[in-house]
Amino acid sequence: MAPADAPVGTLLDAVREGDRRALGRLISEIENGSVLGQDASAALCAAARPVVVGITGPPGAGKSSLVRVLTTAIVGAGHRVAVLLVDPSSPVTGGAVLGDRIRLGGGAGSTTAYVRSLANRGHPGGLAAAVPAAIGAVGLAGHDVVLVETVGSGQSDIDVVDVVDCAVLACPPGLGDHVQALKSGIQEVVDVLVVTKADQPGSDRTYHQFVEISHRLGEEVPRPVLKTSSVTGEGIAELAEAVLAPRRRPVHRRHAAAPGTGHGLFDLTGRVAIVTGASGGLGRQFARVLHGAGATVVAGARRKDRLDDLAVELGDRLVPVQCDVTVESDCDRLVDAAVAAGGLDVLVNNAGTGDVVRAEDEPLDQFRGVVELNLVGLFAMCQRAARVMIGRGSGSIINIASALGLVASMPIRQAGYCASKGAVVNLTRELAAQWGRTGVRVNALAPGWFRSEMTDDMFDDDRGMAHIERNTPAGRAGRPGELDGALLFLAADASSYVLGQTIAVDGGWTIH
Amino acid sequence: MTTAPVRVLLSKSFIDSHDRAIKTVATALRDASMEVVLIDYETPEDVVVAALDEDVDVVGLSFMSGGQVDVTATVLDALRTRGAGDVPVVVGGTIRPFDVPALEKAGVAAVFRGGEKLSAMAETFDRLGRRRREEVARHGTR
Repeated sequence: MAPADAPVGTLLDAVREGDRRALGRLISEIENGSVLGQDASAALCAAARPVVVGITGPPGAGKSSLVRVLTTAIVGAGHRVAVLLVDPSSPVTGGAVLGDRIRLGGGAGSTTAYVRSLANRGHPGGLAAAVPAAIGAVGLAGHDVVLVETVGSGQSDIDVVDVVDCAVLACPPGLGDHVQALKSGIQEVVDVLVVTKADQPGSDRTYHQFVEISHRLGEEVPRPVLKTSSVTGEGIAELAEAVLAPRRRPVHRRHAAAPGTGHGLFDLTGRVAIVTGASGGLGRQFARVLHGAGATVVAGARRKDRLDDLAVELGDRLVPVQCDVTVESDCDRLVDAAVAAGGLDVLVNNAGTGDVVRAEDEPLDQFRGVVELNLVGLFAMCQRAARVMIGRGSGSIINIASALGLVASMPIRQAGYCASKGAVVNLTRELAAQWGRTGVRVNALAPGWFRSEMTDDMFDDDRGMAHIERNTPAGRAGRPGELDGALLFLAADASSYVLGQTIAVDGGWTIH
Repeated sequence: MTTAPVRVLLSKSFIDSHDRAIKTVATALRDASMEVVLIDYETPEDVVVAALDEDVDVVGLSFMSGGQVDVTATVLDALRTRGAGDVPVVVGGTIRPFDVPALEKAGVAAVFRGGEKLSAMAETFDRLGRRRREEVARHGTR
């Protein structure tokens, strides 16, 4: 199998072919956040998903035993099942005893299902940070049902509902009185309520408490409430049927951006975003990030084959539009595609080009060409997007400027690039000022040195890399994914009071 | 990545109810910042599959009754057959003096008979795990 610096494709191919060892390795790479793991995560989070069932509940509720019998039942129904078991890491040493697997028994732990134990490594909310990508990994390996068992959870550990198709709350009899059941929290957001250990006294009382809260406001039918016993097998077949029943998740499961909490700040569920220049390295990544945050992404670029690849990778919620943003009618088509997809909430103006040549020798047509795409095309997209966004009373426009829009580019000579990117920085301020009261925000992102088709030559040249490393305070070029956070911040409600700013993500290139 | 925790699989037979030793070792490894997966195997194959699924860096087998040599040799063989011969196997528990040469011949990385210090055991697991982790980073798994 591939060493750590081998292309991620080799490992993914082995996983796809059913190599169990490769799958174990891939999940470790994801957990450890290695470069290989990061490369894979982007692809995996977006891959076609298996049906994901979450099992949550307080410590000692019998979750693992429930997972054991549920796995057997679902395998018996002809499915290929993977089980992800999350246990807490020690807050003191970082170590962990991952003891869930022992309850799955030899059979469930080997022959019938792929089982992986994950330490949460300090991640709050009941899951491990690697869970979404790990779900993609086991899906890639051909499993069509994934059971995710959370850390023994409290009333507000509700992250599991964001990554599963069906969330099951497992509670043993005798935990608290009826007031506990009426409280807010996990019991409101799960899809199935289960009383475990039904062979023990008191289960009827807990069952009736669950029945009372099973019917949520605004829903036609109450949620299923089941009594199960991992000892007698009571209720297990019914539970398997309930968790695999197709269900439409409500779009807004959570109260968005509750005051004083971080929830919803970075959520783009139900929103529509346009990304221009989506065939290049940075643009593709921008599309993945917004898509991963829940947005429908209209991806524009000239190269149709690249867009088709992206559509295959991301699947649903990706609308490819072949276009050239220096052509006005193409800009119109992009915005029309977004409106057809439900509106326009985010525009990422990423398409751009460069012109490496001495200024005294640069033909004016070359200079004009760069300005035409980097500035005029960008402005054309801004004004078209704003017309839709002003009508809706909200929207976020993100112009991709450059560190070289803030400082000169020496020793690489590119007058048109620097001029146009500098212009984008101040255009961003002007547009933000003009549209500030309409709810439309305009900001810019100024990447430093990241590998892309425009910078490949620089990265492949030892002197180029030395130049970057010597002159960047961080001592290195940007890594894939290091623009994700700033982009998502600007795209989402997290930046609702941020207007006209340019955020340089450049390892400090522009600060000295 | 060398900063990621070493992952260890600790296992004993499901019919052997002597679990005090394996729990004590698991706790000591946790306290030495390792991630420890526990299983009770029904067959030696269960150990191998769990080692692959969990991508562990070290396997530890605990014996309080029988099977010291036979089970260990079967696990080592199966690991090699499944392409995981680079995962070191450590054995502990009631290991009789005459078991040791046979275990070493089978290819175990370390044997802990009764009375070993927990800190020394944790160091051995950590060292073996890190060495295997570096091998994987350099050459890939075999």
